Amino acid sequence: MQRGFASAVVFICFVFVAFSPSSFAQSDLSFSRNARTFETQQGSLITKALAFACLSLTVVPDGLPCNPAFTPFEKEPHFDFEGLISNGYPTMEKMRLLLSGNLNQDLVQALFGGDPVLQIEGNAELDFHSRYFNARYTPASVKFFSVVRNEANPLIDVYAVDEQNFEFQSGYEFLPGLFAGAQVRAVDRKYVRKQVFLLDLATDEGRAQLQPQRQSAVYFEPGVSYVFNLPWKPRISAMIVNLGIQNGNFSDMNEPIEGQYSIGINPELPWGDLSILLDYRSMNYQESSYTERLRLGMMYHLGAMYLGGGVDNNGVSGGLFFSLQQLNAGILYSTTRVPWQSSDFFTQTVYVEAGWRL
Amino acid sequence: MKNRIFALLSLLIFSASAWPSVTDKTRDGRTSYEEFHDVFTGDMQKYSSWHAFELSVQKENFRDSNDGLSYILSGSLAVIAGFAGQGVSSDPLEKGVYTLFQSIGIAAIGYGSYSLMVGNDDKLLYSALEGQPNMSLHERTEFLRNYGRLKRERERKERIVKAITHGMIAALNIYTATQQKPGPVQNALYFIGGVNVLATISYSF
Repeated sequence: MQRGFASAVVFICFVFVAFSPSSFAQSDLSFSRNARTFETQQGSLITKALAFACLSLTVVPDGLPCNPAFTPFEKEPHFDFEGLISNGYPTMEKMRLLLSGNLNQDLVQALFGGDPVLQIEGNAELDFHSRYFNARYTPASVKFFSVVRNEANPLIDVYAVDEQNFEFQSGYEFLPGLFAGAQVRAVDRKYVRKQVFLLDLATDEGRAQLQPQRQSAVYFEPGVSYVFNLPWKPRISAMIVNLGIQNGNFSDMNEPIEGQYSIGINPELPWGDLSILLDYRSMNYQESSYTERLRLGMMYHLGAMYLGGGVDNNGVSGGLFFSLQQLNAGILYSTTRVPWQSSDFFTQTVYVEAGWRL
Repeated sequence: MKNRIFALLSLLIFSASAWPSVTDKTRDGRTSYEEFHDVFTGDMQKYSSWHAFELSVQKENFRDSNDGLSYILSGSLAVIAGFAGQGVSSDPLEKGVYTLFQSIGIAAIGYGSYSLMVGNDDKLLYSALEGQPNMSLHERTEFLRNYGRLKRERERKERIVKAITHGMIAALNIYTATQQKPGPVQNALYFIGGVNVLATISYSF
């Protein structure tokens, strides 16, 4: 117990230093992004709540484990259908028109002539879980975010992604406490990602800048985790992502190879199960400094309830998820406004998720 | 590229299907999940002696009462959160999710009450045997061993039935997929068929 307490003190001190206000650089793009939706990332409601600090989370109740090494932690085989959608879903049709390549002046006006910020994320996925392997097929995953800045000469920052993907993962406990696994992730996406001036979109040549691009890739992503045989279950995890073959245009939206690291503990509580997780991983290629890659997440599980919260340089998030046998549902709130950054510009997003288990 | 993907997937699938006997139980007979959460769920060793069974039932009783209260408490919170959320939300999707919270909450209260008041079959078996003072320790142990053997046999049959069922689901979905035009529906059917093939392999070991 004392060793568990000591490891927790070290962990908490590290978290305080890492997340102190001075450690963050003020980003001029802080108002032009979403805290939990990223172009190339697909996350469940729980992983979004944790600010994607999930590499040391043994079981993700509404999706596949972030780290394939934790595959053996699955309790029993099950097949799930999960659907997630954020606010702004009326934008979905306009986004699909943009990605169809039929951008005309009416659509430009509808997309960028009204609200300065438009956003949407939605996905539907089929998941299979077992103790030996997990698989996920996502027939539809859409993400859209646009922001119009500078009233004098409006500049539009926009991305729209329509993706299909397949993921297969397997893992094994090689030595007591040492888990290793790998996942294969195949993605096929159509996307637009540009910064353009609104005036340029008045001409056909200008609108051609927003022609959708296509990219496909197959990634092999190995992961490892060691769970110490100590109170509070301290564990360290590592993973290599985006190792594979890419096809198409990756100049506007890149997915570089990256090493990701994580530590986690489960403090002993009389009631429920608390996971505290700290990850070092980037969600997009623009996160260059190490502080931008730090993510802290906490999840409390009691009976049918999962209460999650997370903080990183992109913002804060908190969500509530309930799951009992066949049915599950959850809601998540996220915002780019963080206590240590005073800014009048911020975005906030509400995600809802519902699922059915067979 | 497709050949490479297929080869890689086949390798992983084949490797995974060869592991069940090793990954199924670790160290002291528990799965990784059970070990991490310090619980026992499906250990057949408990039927080896009356003492082991008594100890196991005590642990299960403790776990059932803890789980039962947890589900009652979290279910109550879900119902409260559902009412509170519906009061402040105007979005129809959000309102729908809060309604689901309430349904899950009521079901969780029922599930928790069942765990707390009824428990599993072992609890019933223990009560029945304990209420037989004329049975010697040896007779109880023999009864339990026989019960454990029959239970193992039943589980083996269950696995065979599950393997056949998943195999048939796989065949049906793959056949239906071949009749579809290429697109998300066909991919989804192939996916369902594929995971059912893997489930069949898993249950066959």
